[in-house]
Amino acid sequence: MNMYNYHADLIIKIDVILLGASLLLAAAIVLYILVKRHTNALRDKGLLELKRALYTLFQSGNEDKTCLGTVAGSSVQQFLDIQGNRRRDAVFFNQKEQALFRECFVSSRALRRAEEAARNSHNKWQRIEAIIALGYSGKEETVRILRKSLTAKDQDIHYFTAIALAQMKTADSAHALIGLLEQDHFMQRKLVSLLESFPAGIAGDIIKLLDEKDPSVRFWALKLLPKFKPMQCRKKVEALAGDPSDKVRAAVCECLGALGGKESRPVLEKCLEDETWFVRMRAVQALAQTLGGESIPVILGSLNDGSIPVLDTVKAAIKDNILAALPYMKKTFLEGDDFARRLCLEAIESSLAETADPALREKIVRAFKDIDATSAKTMERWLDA
Amino acid sequence: MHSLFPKITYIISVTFFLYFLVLIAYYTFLAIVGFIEERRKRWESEAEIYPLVYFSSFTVPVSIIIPARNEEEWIRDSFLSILNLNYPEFEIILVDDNSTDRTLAILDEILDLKIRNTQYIKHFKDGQVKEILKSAKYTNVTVITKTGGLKKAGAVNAGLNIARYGYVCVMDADTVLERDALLKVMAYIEKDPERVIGIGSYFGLSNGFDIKDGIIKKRSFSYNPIIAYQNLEYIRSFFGNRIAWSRFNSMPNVPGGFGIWRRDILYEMGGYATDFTCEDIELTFRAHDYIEKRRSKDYKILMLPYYVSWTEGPSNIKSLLSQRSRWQRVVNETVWKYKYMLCNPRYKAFAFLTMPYYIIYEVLGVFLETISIVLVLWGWLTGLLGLKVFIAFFCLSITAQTFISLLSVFAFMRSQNVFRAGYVAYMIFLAFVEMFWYKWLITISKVIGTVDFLRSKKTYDQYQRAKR
Repeated sequence: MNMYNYHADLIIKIDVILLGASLLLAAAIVLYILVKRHTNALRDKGLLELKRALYTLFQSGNEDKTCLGTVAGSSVQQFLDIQGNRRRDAVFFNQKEQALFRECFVSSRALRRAEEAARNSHNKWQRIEAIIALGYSGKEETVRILRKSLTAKDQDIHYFTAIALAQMKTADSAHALIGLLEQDHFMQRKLVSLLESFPAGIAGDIIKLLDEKDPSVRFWALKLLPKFKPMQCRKKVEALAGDPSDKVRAAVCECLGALGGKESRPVLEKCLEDETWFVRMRAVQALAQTLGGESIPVILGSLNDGSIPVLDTVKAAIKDNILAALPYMKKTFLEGDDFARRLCLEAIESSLAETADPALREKIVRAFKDIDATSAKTMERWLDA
Repeated sequence: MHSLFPKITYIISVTFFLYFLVLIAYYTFLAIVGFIEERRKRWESEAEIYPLVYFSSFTVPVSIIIPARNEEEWIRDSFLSILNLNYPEFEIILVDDNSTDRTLAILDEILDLKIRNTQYIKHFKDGQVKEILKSAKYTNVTVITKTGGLKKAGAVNAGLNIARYGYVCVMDADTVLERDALLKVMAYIEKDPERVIGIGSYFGLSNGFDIKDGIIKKRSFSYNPIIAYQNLEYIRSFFGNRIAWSRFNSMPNVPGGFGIWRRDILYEMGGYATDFTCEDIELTFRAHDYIEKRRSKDYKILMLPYYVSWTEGPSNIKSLLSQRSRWQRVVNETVWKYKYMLCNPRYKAFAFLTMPYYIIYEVLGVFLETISIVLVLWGWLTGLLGLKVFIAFFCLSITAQTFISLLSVFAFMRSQNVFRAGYVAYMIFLAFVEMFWYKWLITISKVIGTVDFLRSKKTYDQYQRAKR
C-alpha cells in the first residue's frame, strides 16, 4: 500500500472549500454588521422624524396637514416601535405621543394593511406583528379579526392574539379572553394576569365563571375577583367554601381575605377545620387579614394543628398582632404543650426583633412579664445582648 | 511488523479525516437549526410586551439561590445587580459556603444581617448549617452560613431547603445580572408553565467591564486573547449547539451560572447531587432521565439566546487550564453515569443527537484528536506520509475549526449587538489562528481532566480570581 500522499488531493479540495466558505462567512459577518448598523440608523432617523412631526402636530392642535401626512404614512413596524418603545435607547416616546400617534394610525392605510395581514398573511411573524399592531390600535372593529386568530392552531399566533386583546381593554376583548380561560388550561395563569389590568366593568363576567363546572376556571376566577373588589359577589364566593376541590376552597379563603369585611368570619372559621392543610393555612391568613387582632382567639386554636405551614402562618399572625395576642397567650403558656409554647415564644421574639419603636418594645416586654416572668427576663437579656 | 506501521497510520489518518468530516456535518446541521431557532426566539422576544409581565400580580415569583465561597471580589456587584432586577416578586437566598475571606462581612455591610428563627427543614444533603440570617433592610433576603465540604451542590441544596417559590433560579456569586434577566426568561416560562421545567439563557464574560454597585457602566470587551477566545467559545457553544439542542429538547446543560428550574421537579429528583465535581450538567442529564422514566408528560428544557448575565472568566493560562480540566472531569463523570442513555429510543433526541456528541467529541475527542495528530506527525517524520498530505490534514483541522466558529459568530451577530465591529474582526482573526495555540491549551486541559477523572478526583478547584 503506497501511503505517501494518499487522498491528499481530496483533502486539499475540502480544505479549499472550507477556506472559501470561511472567508465568505467572515465577509458576510462584516457586511452584515455594516448593513445592520445602517438600517438601524435609518430606522431611528425615521422615528425621530415622526417624533418631530408629532410635536408639530401637538403645537398646531392636530391641524398641520404635512405632519398629519407624515404620521399617517408610517408603517406597521414604526407603529410598533412607538407603542412598545422598542428603540428606546435611541428615541423614546411618551404616553401623549403614543396616544396621538395611535389616533392617526387608526385612520391610516397602514392599519388596513395590518388588518389584511392579521387575516391572511402566510408569513407567521408578519401576521403576529399585524395582530399586535391591531391590539395597540384599540379599534373596536378589529376584535372580530382577533377573535378569529384566537382559534388558530399555531401556538404563537394564539398566544400573541391573547396579548393583543389584552392591549385593547374593551368589553369585547375581555369576553374573548374570558372565553379562552375556559378552553385553554395551559394559558390560564397568563390570561388571568392579562385580565387583571382591565377596567372593573368586567367583574360581572368574572363572577359568572364561579358557576363553571371546571374547578380550574372557578379557581382562577376566585384569584382574579379581588382585583376588582366586587362586593356583590361575597355570598357567591362564600357558597364555594364547600367546593369539592381543595384548591377552590383555599382560593375562597384567599378571596374573602382580600375582599375584607367581618361578614365572612363564620365561613372562614369553618375553613379552619378543613381536611386539607393549605385550606386551613389560607383561612388563618384570611382571618388575620380581615379581623386583625380580633382574629387571635380563634387563630390560637390552630396551635394544635399538625401541619407546619399552618403553624408558621399562626405564628406570623401572632407576630403581626402581638399586643392583641399577648393576653390570650397566657392560657397557652399555662396549659399548652411545649411545642405551642415554643411557637408563641418565637412569635414574641420575632416581633420584638422587628420592632424599632422602643416604647412598643417596652409594652410588649411588660405584657410578656405578666404571663411568664422568667422567660421574659431571659428574652430581655438576649435582646439587650 | 515493519509493514504494520503504514497500515496503522493509514487507518488512523482515515479515522481522523472521517472524524472531522462528521464533526463539520454535525456542527453545520446544528448551526443551521440554531440559526432558524434563534430567529424565531428573536421574533418572539420582539413581539412580547414585557410591561404586562412586570406589572402583573400573577407573575410567577422566583427564589434566587446564590452559593458563595470566598467571593469578596464580586459579591457586592453580584448581589446589588440582583437587588436591582426588574421583576415584581422574588426572594434571594445567599448561601455562604464556609468563606474565609470578607464575603460575609461585605454582605453584612449591604444587608445589615440579623439572626432569625426561621423554619429549616432538611430535605436535601446540605452539610451543616450554622446560622440563618435575615436582612434588616430587605425583607426578601436570607443568608445561610454553612460548613463547607459538599461543594456548590451542597450550598444550593441548603438554599433549596428554605426556598418558598415555585421556580428556583440558581446562579454564581461572580455573576452580574442584566436588569431584565428574570423578566425575559420568566416571560418565556409563563407561556408554557406546565411543560417548561428548566431553562437557561446566554451569558457572556465580564472581564474588562466597568461595573459599579451592580450596574454595568461600560461594556468594553477584553482584547486579552485568552478572554477573547473564551467569548468565541461561548458563542460557539450557545449559538452553535445549545440553541439547536433546545429546539429538539435535548439540551444537556442548563448552566450553573444562570439557570431556572421548577422547584417541584428539583424536589422530586432529590435536589442537587453532591458526589459530582460540578452540579449543573449532571442535574440536566438527571432531569431528562427522571422525567422520561417517572413521568409520562411532555416536558421542555430550554436555552434562550438573550444575554441575561455576565460572569468573570479566567484571564491567564493557569486559571484556564484549571477551569477547563474541571469541566472535562465533570463531563466524563456525567457521561459515564448516564451512558445507558446513548441511543436508547426512550430518550428520543437526547439519545441520538446529544449523547453521541458528548461521547465522541467531549469524552473520546481528546483521545481521537491527540492520537491522530501525534500519528500524523509521526507518519510525516518517519516518511510514511508525504509533506503534502500532512499539510492537507493540518489545514483541514484549521479550516474545519474556523468554519464552525464563524457559522456560530454569524448566528450570534444576527441576534446580538453587543460587540463593536473591531472586536468582531478580532474574533474572526482569532478563529483562523485558533488551531495554532488555543486549541492545544484546551486539549491539554482535557487530557488533565480525563486523567483526574480516571484517578477519581472529585474536588472543586476554584481558580484564582483576578484582583479588581
